[in-house]
Amino acid sequence: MFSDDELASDDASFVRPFVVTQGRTVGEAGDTPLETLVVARTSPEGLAPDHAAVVTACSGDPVSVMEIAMHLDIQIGVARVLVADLTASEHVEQYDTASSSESSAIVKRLLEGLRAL
Amino acid sequence: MSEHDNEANEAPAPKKADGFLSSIDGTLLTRFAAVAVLASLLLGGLVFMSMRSLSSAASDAANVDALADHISSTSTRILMFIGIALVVSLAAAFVLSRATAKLVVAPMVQLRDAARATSGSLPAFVEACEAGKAVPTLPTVEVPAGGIASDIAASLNEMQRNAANLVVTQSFRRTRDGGRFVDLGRSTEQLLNDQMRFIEAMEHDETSAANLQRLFRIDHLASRMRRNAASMLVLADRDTPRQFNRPVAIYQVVQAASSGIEHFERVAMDDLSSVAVNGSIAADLAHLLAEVLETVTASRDDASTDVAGQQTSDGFALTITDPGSALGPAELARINQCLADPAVADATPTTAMTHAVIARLAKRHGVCVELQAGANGGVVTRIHLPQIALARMTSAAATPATPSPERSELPAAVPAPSVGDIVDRVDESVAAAPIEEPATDEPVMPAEPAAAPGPVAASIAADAEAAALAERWRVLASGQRAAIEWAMDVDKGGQSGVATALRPGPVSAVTLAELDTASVSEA
Repeated sequence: MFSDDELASDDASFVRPFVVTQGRTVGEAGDTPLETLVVARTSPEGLAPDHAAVVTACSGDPVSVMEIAMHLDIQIGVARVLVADLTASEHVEQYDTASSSESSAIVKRLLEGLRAL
Repeated sequence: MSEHDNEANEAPAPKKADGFLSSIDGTLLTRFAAVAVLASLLLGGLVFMSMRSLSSAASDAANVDALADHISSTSTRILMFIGIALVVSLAAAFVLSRATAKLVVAPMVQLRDAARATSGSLPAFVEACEAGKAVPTLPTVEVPAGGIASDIAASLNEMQRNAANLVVTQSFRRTRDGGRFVDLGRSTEQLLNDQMRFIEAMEHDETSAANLQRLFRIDHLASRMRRNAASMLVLADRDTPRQFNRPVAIYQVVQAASSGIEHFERVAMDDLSSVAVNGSIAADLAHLLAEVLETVTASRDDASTDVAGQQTSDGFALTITDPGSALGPAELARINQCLADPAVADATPTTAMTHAVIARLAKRHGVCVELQAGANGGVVTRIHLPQIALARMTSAAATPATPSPERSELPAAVPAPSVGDIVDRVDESVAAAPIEEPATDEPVMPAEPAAAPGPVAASIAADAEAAALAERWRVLASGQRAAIEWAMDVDKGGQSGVATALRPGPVSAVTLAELDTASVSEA
């Protein structure tokens, strides 16, 4: 039989993710990798609530798209679209991502961290 | 007539005699008739004999005087006979008419009164049956046995019995079918809810934009189907099972409503971020809005539909303008009557199903839905929420999926965010794991501790702490998962075999961690 173990709650989310992005899976500024670092350039005022939340989340130091998704408890795919929208409207700025050699070093650290579990 | 007379003879005396006339029955009437005929024959005979004696007297009368005397006495006799006959006839007619009245009219009057007395009970019976209450005993039409009136009464009773049986049968069928539809609606709703949870889990893990697009489409279809199932339950007057124990921001209610309609992308919103509604009304309000928005967005090709809101003296009003709609004042009034009262909506054959659903949902929560002619043409739908349905806007209201006062502070608590930090926090999580065991649940709202001083406040504070821990743990766990996903993606790109090595062990560790979190937030 199938198991429901991977599901966190009994009810589906009240707000469906596709509504937040108006059905889009690619934002205004195109594809945004998960590890992209983002920092806010403006205040969140005047933005729609979901976009405003993203701007607030990255209003301090640069944060990755993935972390924004975690903090706001939204799906990564949704966070990517919102960040790309805000990049296009110049509310946030994206930093270049780490090079591939750095990435593998990070993966190694990640592996160590996970083994510690 | 003769048959009836026989019956009347055989039947026992229906009522105690109250005088001479009441004892008269059919047989007596026949006797009276016979007596009257005999009296007429006798009278005719007397007149005939008198005429004959008169004519014989005339033929051999010697003198005129004698003849005159004879004529005089004979005519006096004739007049007397005629007078007697008249009196007898009148008396007979009087007796006959009284007898007829007693025999036919009186039972009919009794029947009429009895029928009138019982006629009011059938509608009450039908009403009780419809409402599912215990049905009253139907009174029968009671008249004295015997005679045509009692036959008619028996037929009336038979008809009433048949009508009552029909009502009971129909009501039973309706209840049975209604129950079946409710069961079907419930199980469909639950199945779709489960399906949406799985779609959500898949969406969560999906990194490919193309695949996510497909999942979004499936999600959208499931959301619309779930709305249909929910409508079925609403029409059957069943409560919505989904309720939140915290305020929900109005803009999220509008977003939730949009997910259930076909053209969700046409819904635009004014700034509604400062208002929240009670968790108990959120799901139903979203459903109500979805029904309104479905109609409005469908009638406009690709223009966006704006949902605006403003405070009123006694609540909050949402307005949705449909410039394309052209309804006359009479039609608007008719629809408004249906929207104001589900009973009117049900009784009007032309009511659209969507209006019946809206009317029920609105009545359930004291919401007023009204169509108005727009200032620049078109139709404006005004949804007025009473003050009691509104809630204070809190940070928890803005995040209904996982309410926690801790949430808004979290970004600040992450000073140097990067993928590398996730690794560090994975380490921390190992230390944090045993602490969160006794953690409790979510009903922690910023507004509540102030209202509950003393030891209660302390326990709420402890709850808040536990909830905060649980929340942090949840964030970490999802961070772990996201990181592993990310690592696997890197691996797919052909970088190294490192993620492959990760798969069997840490994935199950993460699953366990998430299970813990789930049980904590459910506790």
